[in-house]
Amino acid sequence: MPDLPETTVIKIDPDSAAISVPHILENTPYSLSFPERQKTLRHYFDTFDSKAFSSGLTVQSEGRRISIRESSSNRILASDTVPSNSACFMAANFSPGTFSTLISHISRLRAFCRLASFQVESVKWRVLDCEEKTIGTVIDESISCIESLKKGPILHIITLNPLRGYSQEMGTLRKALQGEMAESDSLDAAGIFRELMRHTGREPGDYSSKITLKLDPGAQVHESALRLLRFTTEVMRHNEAGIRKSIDTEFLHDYRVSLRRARSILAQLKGVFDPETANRFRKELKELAGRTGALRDLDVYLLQQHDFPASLPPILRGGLTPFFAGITSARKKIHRKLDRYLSSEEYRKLMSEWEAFLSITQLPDPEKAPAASIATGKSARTSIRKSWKRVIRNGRLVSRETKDEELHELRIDCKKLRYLMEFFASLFPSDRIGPALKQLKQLQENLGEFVDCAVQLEFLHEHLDAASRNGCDPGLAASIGGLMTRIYLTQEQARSTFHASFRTFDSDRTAALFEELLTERMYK
Amino acid sequence: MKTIALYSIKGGVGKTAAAVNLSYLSALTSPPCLICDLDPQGASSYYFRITASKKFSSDKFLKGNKKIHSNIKATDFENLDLLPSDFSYRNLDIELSEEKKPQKKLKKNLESLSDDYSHVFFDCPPNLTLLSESVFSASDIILVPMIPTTLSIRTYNQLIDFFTANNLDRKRIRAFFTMVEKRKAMHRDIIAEYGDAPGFLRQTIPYNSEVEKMGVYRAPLTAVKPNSVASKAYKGLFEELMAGKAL
Ligand SMILES: Nc1ncnc2c1ncn2[C@@H]1O[C@H](COP(=O)(O)OP(=O)(O)OP(=O)(O)O)[C@@H](O)[C@H]1O
Ligand SMILES: [Mg+2]
Repeated sequence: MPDLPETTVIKIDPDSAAISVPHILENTPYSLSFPERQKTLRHYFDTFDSKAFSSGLTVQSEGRRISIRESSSNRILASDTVPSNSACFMAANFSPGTFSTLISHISRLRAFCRLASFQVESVKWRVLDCEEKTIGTVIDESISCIESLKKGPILHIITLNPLRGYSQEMGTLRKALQGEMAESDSLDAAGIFRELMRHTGREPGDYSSKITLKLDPGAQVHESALRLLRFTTEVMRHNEAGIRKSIDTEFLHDYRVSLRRARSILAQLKGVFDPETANRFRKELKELAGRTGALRDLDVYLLQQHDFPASLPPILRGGLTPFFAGITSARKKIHRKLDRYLSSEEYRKLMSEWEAFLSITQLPDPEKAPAASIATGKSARTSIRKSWKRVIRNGRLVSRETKDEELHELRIDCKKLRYLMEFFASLFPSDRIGPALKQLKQLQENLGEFVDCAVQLEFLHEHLDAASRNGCDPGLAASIGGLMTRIYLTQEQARSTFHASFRTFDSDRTAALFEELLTERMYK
Repeated sequence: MKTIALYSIKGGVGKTAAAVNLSYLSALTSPPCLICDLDPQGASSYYFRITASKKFSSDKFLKGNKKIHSNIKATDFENLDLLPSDFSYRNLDIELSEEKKPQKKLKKNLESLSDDYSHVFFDCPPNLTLLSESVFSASDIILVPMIPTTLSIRTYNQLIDFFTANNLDRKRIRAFFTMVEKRKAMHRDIIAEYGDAPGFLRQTIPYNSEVEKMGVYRAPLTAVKPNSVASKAYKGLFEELMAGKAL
């Protein structure tokens, strides 16, 4: 129904003397229905990276119902029954409908997990006018932490919900209530949520895999590099539990991106660390990345479980069922192996040695690491310039035929430049680095598409080979053939647009953007 | 949005009783629903305990859109809203006659609601007036309650004649028998004769004192006593109406 009237939430100091709603309403022309008392458990949910919260929504369950609310108004946008495995869920755990659509809009890839649980004691009244017509509801709620029920309520709120057409009448009531309470405060659902989270020691939105460090251009680059490495390592650490529990595929993805970033810093900031130590960790981290690669590859296919079949003619779709079933069971095995590794003594040792290395703030021997004491700003400019020039140089060398290896290599060059720019982004004015990054991203998209297709084609080819050795079912062969054709078309499309997209990157305009970015006078 | 007008030239035949009960059933099964009380007596508003805001009046109603929007009120039942009538509606006819295209006025005024509700019911006042003409062109179905008497059949035929004379599509008219008393021979005879005539719904509503008690409950009987004989009859009527191809 259209524009619902506004809800008011009044917060009351939980320690203040008991507030009696019926008593306060005695002096208004309205009366209350018989109260409905309820004691329920309320769970709040969000993705690991707080996607609901940052979209202005709250996801909460009470009893068997789970709802998505607009935080600013507390209005329920959609609701459904709690899925049987209620600790974590994704859109696919619900039958198709508004609720599951909204969930997948908030995040298609991330699972929603239980953040915190509260006991809610509520009294609900309908507010009646002199004709005994309901004009709205008043809900008085006392909320306590599940972990510390004895401490009593941590939040006491009164919510007024006018029915459509009765905002004015309920306004009288609001005034009466607010007038009675000296220190009342109006809240929205986001405010309630934030306040409840604070009581459980959480801050919504405190996790992000994006680099948010603010670097000091004057600091020695050794110090800045360590800070960056500590940051990426922390991100890895944050994601370990989610990988091991297989909550969603983004935990592993973020973990791998952070790992790649760390390796990239070690490799690109030459002369900043003792080369012997740096090379040793580069090798170890590369091995670690290798251990996680197979799982990620399978995740990528499983994420296409709907799109792949949908891109084939209906008669070929069924052939992919055994393909995905095979990947699912392979994934299980590989996940178990990685899980075991992450809990192993070997991994624990590697990480603690790595973390110990990151905690040494003393400058390395200048003989071995001559660049360690250079100012971060200068180091950033030099390394970005070098990396950028390399992309330009190698990009220009790509032949008319745009061979596979040429594009593969250029993609790696681009990635290195991208990481450098992201590490040092905080040193540059965001309106300068933003446009330069945007140019780079466009080129990367083209190359990324090409390489992804190549990797997929190879994987599918191997899968087909293996299947044919075991007497391949013709349905599977046909489906995979169809899929390969489609991927090949996409890949050739990406190949054919490479030169055009590189020309945009290798333009005077982009060059001017980079030159301006990398000129010293930009820093303050 | 489908629009259904409860209409008859004769008064006191159960228009309001049907509008209130059918709209409640509609809100249950194909929400959301709006009931527009077009009768200055405000009987359906009364059944839902709703009075119009002091500022609402017939000229606001004629202004349409925004004014209508802000005067819609929620009933005590989920997904069922009501646009209350106001005593000033008694002037609607005079005011309509000053409009350029009075017959199209209602339809135009309700256009903005078309995304908000799946069904709109009009509870009309009796008589054949400019307002009823406006209702005829705004409604997908003109639902006519009839007490099974020869006089009712006569007025029903007058309505059909009016439609024919004014080039209106008489296929939109649906009639049903109400306040049926099986022990009365005339009721039995009339239903036997017209019960399966084209445009007549098969379901009839019996005479039942529970319906009168709606004035005491001040709520749809279908909500308060869903299992009473009359409620079941309204439910049958609603289902037959929905099964018909027009809705
Ligand atoms: N099936 C029924 N059985 C018994 N009484 C009924 C039935 N239907 C309606 N009534 C009663 O008959 C009276 C008239 O009904 P209602 O108000 O619904 O008719 P109406 O056509 O809307 O009247 P008006 O033309 O005045 O608007 C009311 O008192 C109502 O309670
Ligand atoms: Mg009436």
